[in-house]
Amino acid sequence: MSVAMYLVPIVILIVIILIHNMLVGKRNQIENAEGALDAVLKQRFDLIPQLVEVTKQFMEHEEKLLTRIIELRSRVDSASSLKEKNQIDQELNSELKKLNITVENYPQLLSNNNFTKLQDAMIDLESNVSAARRFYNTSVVEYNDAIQMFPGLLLAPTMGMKKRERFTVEENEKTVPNTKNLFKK
Amino acid sequence: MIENFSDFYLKKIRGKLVLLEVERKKGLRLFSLLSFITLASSIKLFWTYRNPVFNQFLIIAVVVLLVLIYKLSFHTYRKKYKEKILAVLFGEYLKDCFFRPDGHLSEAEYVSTLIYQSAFNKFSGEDYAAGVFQGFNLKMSELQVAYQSGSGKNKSTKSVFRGLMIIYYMPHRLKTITVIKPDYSAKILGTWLGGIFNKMEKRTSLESVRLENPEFEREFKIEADDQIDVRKFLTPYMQEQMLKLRARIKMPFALSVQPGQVSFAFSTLTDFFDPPIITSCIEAQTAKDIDSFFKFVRDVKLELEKA
Repeated sequence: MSVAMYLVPIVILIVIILIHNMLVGKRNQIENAEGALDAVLKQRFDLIPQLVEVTKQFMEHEEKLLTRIIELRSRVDSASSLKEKNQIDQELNSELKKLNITVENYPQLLSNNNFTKLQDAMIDLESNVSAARRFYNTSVVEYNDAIQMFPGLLLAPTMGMKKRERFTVEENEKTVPNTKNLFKK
Repeated sequence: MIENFSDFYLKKIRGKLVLLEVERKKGLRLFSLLSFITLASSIKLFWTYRNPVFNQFLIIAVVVLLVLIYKLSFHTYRKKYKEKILAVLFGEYLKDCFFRPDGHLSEAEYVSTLIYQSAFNKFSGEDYAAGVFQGFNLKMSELQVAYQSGSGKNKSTKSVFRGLMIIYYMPHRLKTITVIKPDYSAKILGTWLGGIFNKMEKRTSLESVRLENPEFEREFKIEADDQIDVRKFLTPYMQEQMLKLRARIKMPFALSVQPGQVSFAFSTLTDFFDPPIITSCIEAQTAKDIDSFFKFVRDVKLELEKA
């Protein structure tokens, strides 16, 4: 009887420690994913000014599109959260898709070495961003599952852990851009 | 690359399989006759002498004889099958194809795949083929890898891998190491408990990776050293392709991606490239499976080129 009196609280303590460590691990995983996504977004944003500089030399008549891209890029510096940066990236993506279609009207630009290298780098980074977002979303789902399911839900409120939101694709990103006016005859 | 397998089957191999079927039946008749004679003689000897020591030797001798009769009866059939069917099949997929029925991948090549990290002390194989597939070098063979421990009556052999291994030397942009293996724990214990069990038996420094597709999670476990790079390769489309292949070929398989190399391991209980003995060889199930494997290797190559 006296042995059980000592053993039970020790077992309970061990279980609490294990649950605590598991929840902290899940939270750290989200921070790791945030860091990875932030780093990849930064790499992509850093390429934008170079891309605009190269295309401006050839695409004199696309000022509106290029201005919009520069505007979005400048918003990144004042963005305070990853969610905001992600939002800007999705808007940028939409404008860059229009740019990629418009570029077809400028064969000189297509054969420019700098432009093709930058375009390849942007495509590569886009796939990195997509992979980083998926990693983030998976980490958030695991974290949310851990804090809402037993036994994590017992400790999560006391540790100040709340449900996190995943990144979703914006409605305008789901639609294909209208290319009718982007091609000149 | 065979784009239409049915066409290829009808034009190039069906005729040969029909002739091989005759060889198979000859082999079955010879095996049945010789086995009958052997068993009848042994039963006669058994009843004549009824000596326990003699009978023990007799049983061993009968088993050895039956194995020899089996090998002898189907030797020509197996040899012709490998020369006329397998060599032609590999030639369709691999440019500059080199096929050696008694060759196999080396131990170093097997270890380089990083798929199976368990220790082994028995290594053998057969049916080695090498060539150029879609522009890059490819090598493959059947392998039997095992660990034998103890001696005498306490000897035990644990199979590490038995099946077909393919190594594809294609350059790609991923700098990560990714290993994808069948998840038996998740299938038996469920995803949550299976995940805990997998963590306990983890032997490598690679991190576990969880993806969004629950069906994929139930079938496979993934380990990688970079959470982002692995997702560039394992897109939702790639996950679906792997699940479809699993459903089609009905055998477990593993895959590893590392700089400069992609490796595939398809586990089988018996020799994969051996022709069927009891059932007819005309349906060419092995050829269909090989077609599925090469199409999967091509899909992986295309996905890696996009990553």
